[in-house]
Amino acid sequence: MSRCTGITDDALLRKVSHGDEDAFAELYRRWSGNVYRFALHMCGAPPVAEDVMQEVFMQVLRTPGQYDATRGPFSAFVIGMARNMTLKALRSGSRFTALPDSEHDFHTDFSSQRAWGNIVETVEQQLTRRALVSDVRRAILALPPSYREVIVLCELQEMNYEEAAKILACPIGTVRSRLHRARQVLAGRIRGHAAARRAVAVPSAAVTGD
Amino acid sequence: MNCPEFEEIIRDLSRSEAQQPSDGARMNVISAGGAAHARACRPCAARLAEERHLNAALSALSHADLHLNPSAHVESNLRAAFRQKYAGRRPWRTAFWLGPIYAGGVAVLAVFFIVNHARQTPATPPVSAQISGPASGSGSGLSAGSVSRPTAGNVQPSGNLTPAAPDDANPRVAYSAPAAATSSAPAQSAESADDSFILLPYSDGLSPAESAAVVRVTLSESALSSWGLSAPADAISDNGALADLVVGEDGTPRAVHFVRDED
Repeated sequence: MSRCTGITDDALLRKVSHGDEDAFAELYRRWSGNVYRFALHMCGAPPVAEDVMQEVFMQVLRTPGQYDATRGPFSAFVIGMARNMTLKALRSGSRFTALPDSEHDFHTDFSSQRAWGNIVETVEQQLTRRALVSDVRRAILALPPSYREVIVLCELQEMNYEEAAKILACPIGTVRSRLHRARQVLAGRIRGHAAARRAVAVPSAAVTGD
Repeated sequence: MNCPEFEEIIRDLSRSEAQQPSDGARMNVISAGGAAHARACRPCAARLAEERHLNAALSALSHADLHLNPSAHVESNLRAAFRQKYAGRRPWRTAFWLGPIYAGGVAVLAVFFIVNHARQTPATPPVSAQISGPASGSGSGLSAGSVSRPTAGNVQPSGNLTPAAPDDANPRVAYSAPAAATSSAPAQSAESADDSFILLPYSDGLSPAESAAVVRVTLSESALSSWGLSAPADAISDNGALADLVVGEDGTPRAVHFVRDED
């Protein structure tokens, strides 16, 4: 166990400002995953998400005193930075090359017993869930950024409205309304993806004689 | 509950089965009302089913991506950047053992300085005099130490300011010039006849470590009167009395010696 385990983020940042590398590593261990996944869900391209995450922690390294604990948790601070950088990248018109779905969803394959507890799924159930994950991922990436970010924050990062409002710098009511609208759009797109997949599956089944 | 009201609570309603809300009582009321409406309204029931399906899809994505993490090289890059930034600085934790080392070093230096200083300072001052000022009546001591004597050529041979037996009300101290003093010093000729210096009334004297300079000046009678002194007749010229003043480091004169004609 690291000697920095159990120390608050604020205290770790103070240690970082004094040159404590272990404290910086602990901060990275705590929050790099969240920041990376946020950026990945926002842009869909792992290399860009890594760049964003690296830049976020470089910023923390450059100015550890920039974080003000009275204004919110450290997680909101770093994800707020990641959001700004990701939106900047999206606005700049970068053409992200996302991994193909089959490759991108590689990790969601049959190792899912751990993620889903002890529920043993059949192969068919696993394939269905894999298709569902792929559909929802594509549907999220197709959302406008303002809807996408509330879905990522409130649904995938499981933040409450207040935390999301701080990161997005908008009222809680705005978060609620955006989330409601985003879910409607998302549900419609997932329905569309599923219908399209069924339409493809039915003729192929007819050809194979199933 | 009508359809718009149902739409407002549909997210909470769809999630209420998956997680236990913190405000359970309120959610129970909402769930009961929403469920009743969904039973009565087929479109809203379909919407609720769709929301639950969406929740399941989002949950599946969230779980599937939980293990997604950046490559290890990102962490190595950041650590390298960290080390580069703090390359010139000691890690914070090393200060704990560096502190005593620094303190020990300072202590050794302090002892060395004290010992060295004690060696350079004689056990007893070479010349010391405790002489009371004459005019003011207040006690004033003159501890004579090394006195540098300025000359025209800025030569400052060191000499000793020593007390002489007071022959009148004014205390006198003797200034002995060093043997190596250069002959160009105009004040040096004054030493042969009468080397006694008269301590000025307000003077606190010289501390052993203090150095002083001797300057030759012409003093008016009024200036001498303000000190309660009178110049000997053979030291007075048309412009005043020619005298050597011992000036301390702070620029104040401490003692005076009149230069007589035969000097």
